[in-house]
Amino acid sequence: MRSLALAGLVTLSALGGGWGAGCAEGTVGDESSSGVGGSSGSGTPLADLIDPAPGGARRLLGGQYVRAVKRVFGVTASLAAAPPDDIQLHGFASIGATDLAMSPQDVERYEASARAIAKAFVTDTAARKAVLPCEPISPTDATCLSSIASKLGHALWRRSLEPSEAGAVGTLAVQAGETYGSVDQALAYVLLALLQAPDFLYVIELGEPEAEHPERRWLTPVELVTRMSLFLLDAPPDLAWIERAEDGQLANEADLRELALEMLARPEARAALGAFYDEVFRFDRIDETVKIAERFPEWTPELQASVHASIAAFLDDLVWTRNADARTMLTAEHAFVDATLAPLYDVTVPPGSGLTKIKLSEAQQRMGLLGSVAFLSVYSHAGMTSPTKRGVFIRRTLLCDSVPPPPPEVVPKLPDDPSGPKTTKELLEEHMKNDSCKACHGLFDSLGWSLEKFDPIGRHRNDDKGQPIDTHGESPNIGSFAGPAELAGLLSEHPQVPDCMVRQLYRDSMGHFETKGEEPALEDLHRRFAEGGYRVQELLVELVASPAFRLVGEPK
Amino acid sequence: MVLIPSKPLHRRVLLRGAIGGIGAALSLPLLEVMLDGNGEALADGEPLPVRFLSYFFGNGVRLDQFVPPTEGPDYPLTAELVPFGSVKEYVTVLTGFNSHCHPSNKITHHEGMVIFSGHNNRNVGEGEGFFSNTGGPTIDQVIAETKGVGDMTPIKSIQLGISKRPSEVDFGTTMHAVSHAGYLKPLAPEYDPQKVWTVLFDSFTPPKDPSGPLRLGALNLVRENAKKLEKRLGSADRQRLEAHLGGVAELEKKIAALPPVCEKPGKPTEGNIDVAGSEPLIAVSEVMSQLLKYAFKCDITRVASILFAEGAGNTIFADLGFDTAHHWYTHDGDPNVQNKQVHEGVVYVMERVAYLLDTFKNEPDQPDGGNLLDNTVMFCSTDCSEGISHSVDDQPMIVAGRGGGKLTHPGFHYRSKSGENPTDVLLSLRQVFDPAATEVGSEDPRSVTPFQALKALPT
Repeated sequence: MRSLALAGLVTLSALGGGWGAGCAEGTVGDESSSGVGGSSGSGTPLADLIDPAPGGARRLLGGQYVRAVKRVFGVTASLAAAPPDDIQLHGFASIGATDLAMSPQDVERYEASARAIAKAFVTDTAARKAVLPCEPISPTDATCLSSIASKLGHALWRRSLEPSEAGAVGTLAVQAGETYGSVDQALAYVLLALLQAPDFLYVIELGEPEAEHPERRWLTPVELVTRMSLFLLDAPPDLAWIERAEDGQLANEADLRELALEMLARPEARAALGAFYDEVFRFDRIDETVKIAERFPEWTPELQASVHASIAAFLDDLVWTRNADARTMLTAEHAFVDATLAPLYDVTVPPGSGLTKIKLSEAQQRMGLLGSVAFLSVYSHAGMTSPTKRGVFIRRTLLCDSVPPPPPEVVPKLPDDPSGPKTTKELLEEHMKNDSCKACHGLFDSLGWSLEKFDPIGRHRNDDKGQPIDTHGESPNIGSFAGPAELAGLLSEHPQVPDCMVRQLYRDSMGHFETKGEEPALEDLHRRFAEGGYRVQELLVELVASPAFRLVGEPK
Repeated sequence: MVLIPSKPLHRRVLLRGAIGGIGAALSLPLLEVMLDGNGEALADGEPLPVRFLSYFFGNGVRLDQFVPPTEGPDYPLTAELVPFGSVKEYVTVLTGFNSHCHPSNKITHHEGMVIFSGHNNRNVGEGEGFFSNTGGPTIDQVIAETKGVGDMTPIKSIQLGISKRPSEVDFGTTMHAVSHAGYLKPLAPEYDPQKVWTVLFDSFTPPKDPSGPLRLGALNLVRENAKKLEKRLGSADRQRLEAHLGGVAELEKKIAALPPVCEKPGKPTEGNIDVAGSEPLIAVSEVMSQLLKYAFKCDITRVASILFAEGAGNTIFADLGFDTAHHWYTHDGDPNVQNKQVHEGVVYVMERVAYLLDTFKNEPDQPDGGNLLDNTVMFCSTDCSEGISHSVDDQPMIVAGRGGGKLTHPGFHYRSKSGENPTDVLLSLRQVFDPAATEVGSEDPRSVTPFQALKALPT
C-alpha cells in the first residue's frame, strides 16, 4: 500500500526554480513570494528535490497526429489521415509512445496516410488558399515550393527548418512537378516529405542542461509549449504558440500559467480531458463491450452510444461547467441520461429531449461514477457481474494501488457448486477461504460485492439467481460499508483518491510511470489540489506549472 | 544529396519483374522456367522457399484430453487433437516440456509467452502486478532476420490476429502480441482481413509508375532527418529510431519490388466486425488462412504469426453457444464445466489451426506434387499448460509442416520425461532456416541444444 506522507510535504514556490539564470527562484516556505506555497521549513526549492525522469523522444499519438494535420491543412485533409493505432503501456498510450519502437507496418501506414492527406489537401482549394504562403506559378517553382516547405515545416516539425532542409523538400517537390507536369503533385510531395519526418512524428524533449547540474535539464520554451499543448489539448501547439515561445514570450511562470489558461479556454481542452477519462477509466471500450444478446437485448449500439455520452457529460459537467470538487465524482446524486438510457436508471426521459439531468435513486444507493451504467457495464463479464473487475478498478484506477499477481503456487479456481445456485458473491467467498487467494482477492472482491445489486448492464436488481444480495463488505485501508453509498462516501474521503487523480494525470502528461525521484513533485501537486478544493481545472494549471513538468533528466 | 536513390532490386524481385514484363497473371508464383530440372530449387540454384508461421492461442489446453497416451508416429489423436485427422502426418505434438523462464517471471500467463522467444520477460510487475515486456525477439522475427528469408520477399513478415478481445488486466507488451522484433518492439497483429489484404496484395507500386522513385525520394529525406535527430538522442531512443529506419528500409524494398504476378485473391468482404455482440471467429480464421496461403504461395512474405486469442483467453466462443469468456470457464472448479466449456473451447481452436494446415496441404507448391505445407514450418503453442493452473510446466507445443524436407516426417508425439527446455524446439526450427545457428534466447530460457528428434534424417 502506498503511504501518503502528507505531513511535512515540501512545497513549490511561486517560481519553482528553473527558469534559468536571472530568474528569481522562490524557495519552499517563501510564502511571501507567491501566496500559494506552503512551508516545510526546509528552504529548498522544490525543483532541487526532484530527480527528473529521462528526457527523449515521444511519438505523436494517433489523435494528436490527426489534430496536427487538421490545424495545419484543414478538416478535409485531416479526414484522410490514418496513422497507426496507439499501443498502451501502463494503461496509457502516451507511455507506449515514449517507450515502444515503431513497426514496419507503422512506417507503411504513416506513408499511406501522408499520401492520402496530400491527395485530399491539394484538391481542397479553400484550404490551399488559407494555408499556403504562395501558390506555385509552375510545377517547378522551386522558390515557392521551398517556401511552402519552410512554413508548413515550421508548424509540423515545431522548429524552423534550416534552408538546406526546406531546399531538399523543395527539390523533391520540383522533381515531382517535373515528372507529372503538375503543380498539385509538386505540392503533394512537400506534404509527403514533411509528414513522414521523424521531426514531425516524434516530440523531442531534451531540454537544456542546468549549469551546475548538467544531468538536470530544463525544457526549452518550444519543448515546453509542445508538452503543454499535447497534455492540455491533446494536440501539438499552434504555430502562433510556437512562435511566441521562440520569441521569448514564455519566460516565466506567469507566462506559463497565462498560456495554460488560454489553452484551457479552448473547446479542445474539454475533449482532451474527456479522452483522458476515457482512457484511464476505459470508457473508450464501451462501444466494444459485449453483453450476451439473449439475456441483454437492450444492449444495442444505440444504447452503448448513450452510455458513453452520458458518462462523458457527467464528467464534463463536473469539471468544466461546475468546476466542482473532483471527489464528488464518486458521491454525485445525479446523472445525465437520454430516453434510450433512462430505463436502465429506472427513470423516464421524454424521447428527443437529449441528455437530461436526473436524480439518482436513493433507494438503489446509486451514486456517481461507481453507480454509472458506463462503469458497471464495462467492469462486468458478458453474462454476469464481476465483483473482481469492479473491485480491481477501485484499487487500481481510483486508489492507484498495485494489484499483485497470485503467488506462483496458487491454482486459482472457483469451487464446485454441488448445492445449487449461489450468488456470485457466495462463489467468490469460497475461494476467499483459501489464504493464498485471499491475499489478493481480499483487497478487491469485497469492494465489488457492494455493487452486486447492479447487473452486468448496470440495472438495479434485488437478487442474484433468486438469492438475496448482501452488499456489506470490509476492505483493508478503506473500512467497512453496508453498501455502495457508504463505500462511495468512504472513497470520496480517502486521501489516496485525489492523490491517484494527480498521479494518473501526471502519467498521461509526462508519458511515463512516475519515478521515485518525482515523488516530491507529486506530493506538492496533491497538496495544491487539496488547497484548491480539488478542482481539476486548477490541478491542470498547477501540473504544467510544476517544475517536474519542465524538467527532464539525461536523454534515455 | 541523392534525392531519388536507385535501389538495387533483389534477384527474386528482378525475376518477378521479368515475368511482369510479359504481362501474365499466373496461378503459380514459381514458374517452371524459374525452377531447375528437378523442381527442387530455383533455376539460379536458390532453394525453394520455406515459410515459417507462429500460431498462438491463449489459455492452454486440458492436458488429459490433449496429451496422446503413446509416443512415436502412430500416436492416437486424442479428443483435443481429433481436428488434425486430415493432416496428422504433418503434425508433431510435443509435451512434457517445462518453461525454463526465471521464477520471478511467474505472474501468470505472461511467463508462458516466453515459449515463443526463449528470453525472460523484463520489467516484470513494474508498478502494476500484471505487467511485463517481452525480453527479446520472438522466433518468427529471428527467422525473418535470417539471410535468405526476410530479405528475399517484399514484406519481411506479417502479423495477423483473429479474436479482438484483449486480456484487460494484463499490461506491458508481452500479452498483446505474439511477434516482437525485440524488447519494447512489439509487432501488433492486424485483426481486419481487409487491411491485411491491402498490405499483402494491394499496396504494390505498378511497374513504371512514376510515384515509385518519388516516394523513395521522400523516404530518403526521412533518413536525412533521422540522421540529424539521432545525434541528440540517448541510446534507447536511438534504438527506436533505428527500428523506424528499419521500417523505412522495408517500405523502400516494397516500393522497389514490382507487383507480384501470381494469382491474387479478391478483397475479402469479412472485416472482423462483431455480429450481435459475437466475434466472427470462424470466418476471420478462414479468411486469414486463405490470405496467408496466397501470400506464402506468391512469395510476398515467408514469415507470419497468427494470434488467435490473447493470453489468458478473454474470448467468448459464441459459436459453441457459450456466453462467458474462456478464461472464466477455466477457473470454474466444476468438472462438468472443465469437460464441456473448457474442453470444447480447446477443440474449437484446434479446428481453426487444422483448417489452416489443411488449406496449406491442399495448395500445390511444387511441380512435382508437393504442397505448401511441405514447405512450411508452423510452431503453435499457448501461454500455459492448462488455464486452471496457468502453469508453465508441460506447456504443449505443436510443430507442423515438413520444412522443405528438413523436419521429421511423418509427425510424431514426444513426451519429455525430464521437463526439457521448450527453447530447444525453437532452436531446431531456427536451424531449418539457418543451419549454422547455435542458440535461441538468452539467460535462463536460452537454448544451445536443439531438439534433434524434429530434424529429418539426411536422405
